[in-house]
Amino acid sequence: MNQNFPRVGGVRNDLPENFEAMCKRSIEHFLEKVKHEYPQIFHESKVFRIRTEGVGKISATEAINWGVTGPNLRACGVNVDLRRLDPYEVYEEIDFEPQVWHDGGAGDSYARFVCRFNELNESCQIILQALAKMPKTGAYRVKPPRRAEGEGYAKTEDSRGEALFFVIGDGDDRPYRVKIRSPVFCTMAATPILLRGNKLADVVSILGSVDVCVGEMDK
Amino acid sequence: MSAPLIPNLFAVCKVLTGAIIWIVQQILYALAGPVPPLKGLGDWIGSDFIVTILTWFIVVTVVVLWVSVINLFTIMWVERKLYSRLQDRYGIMISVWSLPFWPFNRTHRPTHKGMGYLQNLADGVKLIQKENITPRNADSAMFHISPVLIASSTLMVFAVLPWSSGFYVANLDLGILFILAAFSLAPLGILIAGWSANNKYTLVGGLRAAAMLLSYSIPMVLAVIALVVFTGSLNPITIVQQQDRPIVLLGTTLPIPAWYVFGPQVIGFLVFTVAMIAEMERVPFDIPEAEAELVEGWTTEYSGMRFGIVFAFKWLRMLAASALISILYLGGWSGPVFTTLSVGGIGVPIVPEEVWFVLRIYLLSAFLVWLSWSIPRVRIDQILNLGCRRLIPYSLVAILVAAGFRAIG
Repeated sequence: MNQNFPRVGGVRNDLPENFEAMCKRSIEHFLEKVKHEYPQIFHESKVFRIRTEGVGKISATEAINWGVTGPNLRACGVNVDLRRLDPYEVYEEIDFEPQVWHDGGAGDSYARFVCRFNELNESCQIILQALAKMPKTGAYRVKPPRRAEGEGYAKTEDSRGEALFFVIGDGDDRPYRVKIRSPVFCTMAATPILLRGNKLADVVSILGSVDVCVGEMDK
Repeated sequence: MSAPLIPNLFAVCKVLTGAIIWIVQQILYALAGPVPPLKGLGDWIGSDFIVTILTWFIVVTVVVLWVSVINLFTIMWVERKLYSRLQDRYGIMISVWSLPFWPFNRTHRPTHKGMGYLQNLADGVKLIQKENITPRNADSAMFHISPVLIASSTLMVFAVLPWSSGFYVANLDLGILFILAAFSLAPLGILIAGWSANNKYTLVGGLRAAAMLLSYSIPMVLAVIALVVFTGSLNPITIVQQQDRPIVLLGTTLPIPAWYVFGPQVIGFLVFTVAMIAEMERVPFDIPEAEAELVEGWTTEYSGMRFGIVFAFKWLRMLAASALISILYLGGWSGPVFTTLSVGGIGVPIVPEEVWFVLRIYLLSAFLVWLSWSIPRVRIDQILNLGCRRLIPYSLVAILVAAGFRAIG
């Protein structure tokens, strides 16, 4: 999302010293909180449930028609995840489970929150597996920006849905044109459906559950 | 049984007034040589009528300073520091170390060090310097009057609220009734403020405050009625005295104080506490000023020190509500006195009633802060549902229970 760190074909800096130990330590701390503390504050709390259950409902058909992807679509009960359907990079080697809402009441704020919340745990597992399989020596920094002519197209599953990148290069170290299909932009197009029939106070919980990011929406 | 530090606030203040008047009288008598009428003036000042009136002024001043300077600043500090610690951060840190005229070596004393007690003072000074903006289409008179109405009606509570069996301004037989009446005036001021600012967010906030008034003042008053049926008194001092004894159950004396929360009135306690949280607009029920939905609710258009007043009055209401809950249900200022020191023949208790009462108020406030920073805000229709469909029936049950116990004896 931020343009200052990722580059076409890699990232800007190498990993810092002691990355593995520091990463493991913070994941340990985070998993502890995810397992024992946060559920009590959030989705096990009754006040949280009455604010989110049945609020901002969208059906799977409508969600697909409006181009909603990612956790918001998985919360409608559709098992869709680019990392599984069309694995890119090293996702084939990693064992994880896309979090899909299976119970009743799919597509409301509560389902979206629970899907995202369970993804916290899954993401930590992915990071731990990646740390174990990562090469232990050598620079992790990927090559300097590629100079290429022609068109390229890639799709990734980012934290808010499917992000598609279409790049045209003209041989310079910067691309000639980049078109980004940002998932938040498409999700925000579906807000009239999400907001219909809800109260003013529910706008907060709906927009919070679809995970609005204005910087990413404006692409 | 415990003893108050100040046996009678009026008598203590009368000594102070008498001393001041005596000094003024001496000056007047000394000047009476060249200007003879001053002797009559000195005699008139020393008359009982004038001394009583001046004493009342001093009593009110003492209580207002005690409430709205010492306790208000402390309770603001408690809330801001506590919720910062709940969020894993340091919070406010402006303290005496940050003062520009601190006389000691400041090179080794970073300005942001210390417990942050002076942060609220610094914020107040900042707010006074800010411009006071009135919206062009606002009803200027009502817009400017309503913060005064809100703050003064909350201060009126403390005219009757006792801090110990001796530390009070007035001891009314209908004290609880007066406190509840004064406490319920502020939503009216909020409605006026919301309407007069001529802004859609303030209007929605003001109307929400009116809706809350309907659904929460009724169970609050019903719970107090249950307590009054149980105790047979509306005087806060009498109610506390009734709780200042151990529970006697079937002839055995238990080591538990006979606070009303440890009896059948626990239903009333729960209803009253929930209604009080709604009355003082704390977070699970702060819908008139729901900053995520309504910008800043009914306080949106206020700026400068008026914003400071409407913001600080909530802490004043929290102070009043905590005091009221502890008086009615948690034994007020009752507590062990341990031992008394003899200072010049007058017995001074080491842990007086005021300490027990203030301790109880702050523990209760800390609990309310903890509650409101860990629970999300409830939607308005859910709040009204809770008020009308849960709290009112429960408070009626509390009245029934109280009447039953009263009938049995």
